[in-house]
Amino acid sequence: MPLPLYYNWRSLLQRRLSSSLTFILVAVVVFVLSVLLSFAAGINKSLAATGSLDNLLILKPGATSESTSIIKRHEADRLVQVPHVALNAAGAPLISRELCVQTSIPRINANKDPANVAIRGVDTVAFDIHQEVQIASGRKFQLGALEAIVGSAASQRYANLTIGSEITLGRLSNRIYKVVGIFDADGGALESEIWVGRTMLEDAYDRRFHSSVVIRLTDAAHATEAIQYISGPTVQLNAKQEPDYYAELSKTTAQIVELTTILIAIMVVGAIFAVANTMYAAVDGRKREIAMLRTIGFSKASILTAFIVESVLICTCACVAGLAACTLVHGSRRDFLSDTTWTVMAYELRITPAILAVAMGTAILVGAGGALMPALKASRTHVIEALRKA
Amino acid sequence: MTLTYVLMQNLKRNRLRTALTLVAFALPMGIFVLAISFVVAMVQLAQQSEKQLRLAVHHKTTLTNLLPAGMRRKIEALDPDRSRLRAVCGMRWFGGRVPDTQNTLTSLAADADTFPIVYSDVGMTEDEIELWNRERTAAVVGTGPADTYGWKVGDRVVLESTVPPYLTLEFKIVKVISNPERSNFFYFRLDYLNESREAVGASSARCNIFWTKCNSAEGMRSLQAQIDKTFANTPDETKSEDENAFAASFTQANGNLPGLMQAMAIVVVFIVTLVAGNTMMMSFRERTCELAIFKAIGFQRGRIFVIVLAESVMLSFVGSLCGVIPTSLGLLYFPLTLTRLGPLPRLEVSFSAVIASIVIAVAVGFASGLWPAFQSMRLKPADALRKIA
Repeated sequence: MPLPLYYNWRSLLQRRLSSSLTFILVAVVVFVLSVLLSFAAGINKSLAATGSLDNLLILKPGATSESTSIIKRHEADRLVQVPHVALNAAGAPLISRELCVQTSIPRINANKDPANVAIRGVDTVAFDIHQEVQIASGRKFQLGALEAIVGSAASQRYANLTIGSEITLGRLSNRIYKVVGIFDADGGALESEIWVGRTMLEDAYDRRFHSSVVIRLTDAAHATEAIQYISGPTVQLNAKQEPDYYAELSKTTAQIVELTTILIAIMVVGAIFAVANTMYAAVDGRKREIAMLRTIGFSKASILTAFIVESVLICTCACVAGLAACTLVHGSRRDFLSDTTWTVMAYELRITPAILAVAMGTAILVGAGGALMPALKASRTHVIEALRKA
Repeated sequence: MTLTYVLMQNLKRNRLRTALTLVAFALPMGIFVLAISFVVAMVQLAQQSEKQLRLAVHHKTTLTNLLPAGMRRKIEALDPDRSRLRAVCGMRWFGGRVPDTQNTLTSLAADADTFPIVYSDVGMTEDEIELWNRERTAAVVGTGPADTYGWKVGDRVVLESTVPPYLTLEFKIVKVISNPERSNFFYFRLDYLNESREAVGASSARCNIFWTKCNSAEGMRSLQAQIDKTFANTPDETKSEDENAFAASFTQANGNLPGLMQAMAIVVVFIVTLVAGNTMMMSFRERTCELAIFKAIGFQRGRIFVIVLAESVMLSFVGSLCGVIPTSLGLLYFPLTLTRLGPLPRLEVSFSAVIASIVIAVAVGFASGLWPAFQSMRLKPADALRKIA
C-alpha cells in the first residue's frame, strides 16, 4: 500500500527551512533554464518561420548575406528563364528584385540606443512571393509615393514606426517616408523590416543594382534543378532555399545556446547533489518514523516511493514557481544584431510547451535523481535497530 | 583541542554530507570561475582600449555606409598643430575568409602610413614597420587566425572577400600580433585594396571608419564633438565614439555574451549560498546537543560562534577549490576557442578570476554560516539538552 501524498506534504512542511531552501534552489535553476531556452526558442522561431521552401533567395557568389550582395541589373535579367518559375494570375513570372539598405532607428527602451533596421525595397510582385507577408492594419504602400509599411515586430520594438509616423531615409537623409501600414509575416524575420517601393529606394540611395532576387518555384521539388541552373554558366549566381539562408544567420546564436546548455547541465548536476544532501538528512532524521511505518505494515517499496515522491513533489512545486516567474518575461520583445547582415532582428521571448516540458522534466530529474540513493537507504532501514536506538 | 582539530572532526563525521556539499558547491563554482574570467577579460580589454585614446569616426546612420577617403585630411585639418590629435587611420572592411571555410575573419584594410602609429598597441618593431611599408601585400595578423590556420611570418595567404567586388587577394604576413586585445584581427594595406578594386573596375577611395588617435582624454572628448559638428548637415554625417562604445555594439551583435556571463555568475553565487546555507543548517540542528555540551563544559560563546562559522567557511573554501582548480587546469590544457563569440580569441582562466572566485566562495561560506553560528552562540545549554533528551 502506498503512503498517502498527504504524509509527504506534511513531512515537507515539518522541515520548513531546508524545504524552502531546496525549493528556491530548484526554482532558480528552472527559471534560468527556461529563460535561456525561451531566448533560443524566440530566435529560432523567427528564423525558422521565415521563408518558404518554394522560394529561392539569390545572392552574388561570395556574398554571405543580402546586405553584402550586389546583383547588377543585367545579371538579374538572366534569371527570367530559370526553369519551373511560378506564374501569377496575369501570367507574369514570380521574380522579385529586392534592394536592402539599413538605417538607424532608436529602440523603445530607457536608453533609446539606436538599432540598425533593415529597409527592403520591393515591387508589388514581392507580395505574391513572400506570401506570409500580410497587411495587419493600414494598407500597402503605393508605388511611386514616399510610403512605407513596417513589420509588426519592428513597430513594437523601435521608436516611431506606427501608422502615420515618418521615417527619414536616403543617402542624403532627404526622403521622408510615411508609414501607411503594419504587416505580419508569421512571426518571421521579415517582421523586423521596413518595406518600401524598390525604384524609389534605389533612387534615394543612388544604387543602380539589386541586393537579392527572390523567385518562387511551382514546387519545392524542383529546387535542386533550379539552383543548379542558377549557379551554372547561364546565370552564375548563388541560390539557396529561403529557410537554409535564414538558418545560417542564427549560427552564432546556436553557439551561444550550446555553451549555455553545457553550463546549465552542470548546474543541474550540482542541484541533484544538493537535493541528495537534503534528502539524506531527512532520512537520517526520520529513522524512527520509517521503522514505525515498516512495523505497521508499509512495504520497503512504498517507503522508497514515498521519499522519491516527497523530493519530486517539492521540485515540481519549485518548477511551477520558476515557470511562473518566467511568465514575467514571456512575450517581451528583444532583438539581436546579426553579425552577418549587420541588421537587427526583433524576436519575442516565448515559453513554449516544449520549454515547459523540458523544465518539468529537469525538475523531476533533479528531484528523483537526488532522492534515489537516500530513498534506497531509507527503505533498507533496520526496523528493530532503528526503534531500539532512537 | 585546537579549532582546526574540531573543524576536521566535524567535517569527517558525516563524510557523505561533506562530499555531497563539496560537489554541489564545486560544480557551480566551476561555472562561476569561467563566467568571471570572461567578465574580467572584457573589463581588462575595455581598460586597455581606453588607454589607447582612439576615436572611431564612422557614418552616422550605419557603419556599413562608406565615407569618402578625403575625410581623413579634413579630420587632420581640425587640429593643424597636432596638440590633440596624433594620427588618423582610415579603414575599410574586407570581410575575408580563407577559401573553402565558413568563418569570416575580422579583416580590414588600413592606411599604411598611419597604421603603426594609431595601432601602436600592435607593437610593430622598426624592422616590421619597414617591411610593412615596403611590401605592398603586407598583412598583420592576430594570434587567433594565425593559430587556427597555422600561419607564421613570411607565409603567403589567400583571402576571399565577402563584400563587393568579392576580390580574392594574396597577402604576405609580416607580423603575428601577440597583444591579446587585437588577436582576432587581420590588417593589411588600404592602397593594396584600392589598387585591386580599381583593377576590376570598382570605385575606390572610401572607408568605413577613421580611427583617430588622440594625445589626451580631454583632447579626445573635444575632438569627438568637433568632428561630428564639422560633418553635420553634409551628405556624410559622422558619429564619433570612443573605442569601448564602439566595441559595445559588436558584443551586442554576438548575442551579448558578456551580459549572459554576468547573469550566470550572479545566479551561481545565489545557488551556492543556498547549498551552503542548507548544509550548515542541517549540521547545526543535528549537533545542537553537542554544542550545548560544549557550552556546559565551559566553552565561551565566541568560541562556539567561531567553530560553527569556521566550518562553513572551510567547506566553501574547499568546495570552491574543487571547482576552480579543475576548471582552470582544464582550460589551460584545452582552451575554449570563441572565434565567433566576441573579441576574445580564447577563454583562459585568469589569476584574478581565481582569486575573485575563492574570495566570493569564502564570503558565501561566511554569510551562510552566520545564522547557525549566531543561533549556537545563543544556545541555552539547559534548554537544548532537555529538548534533545
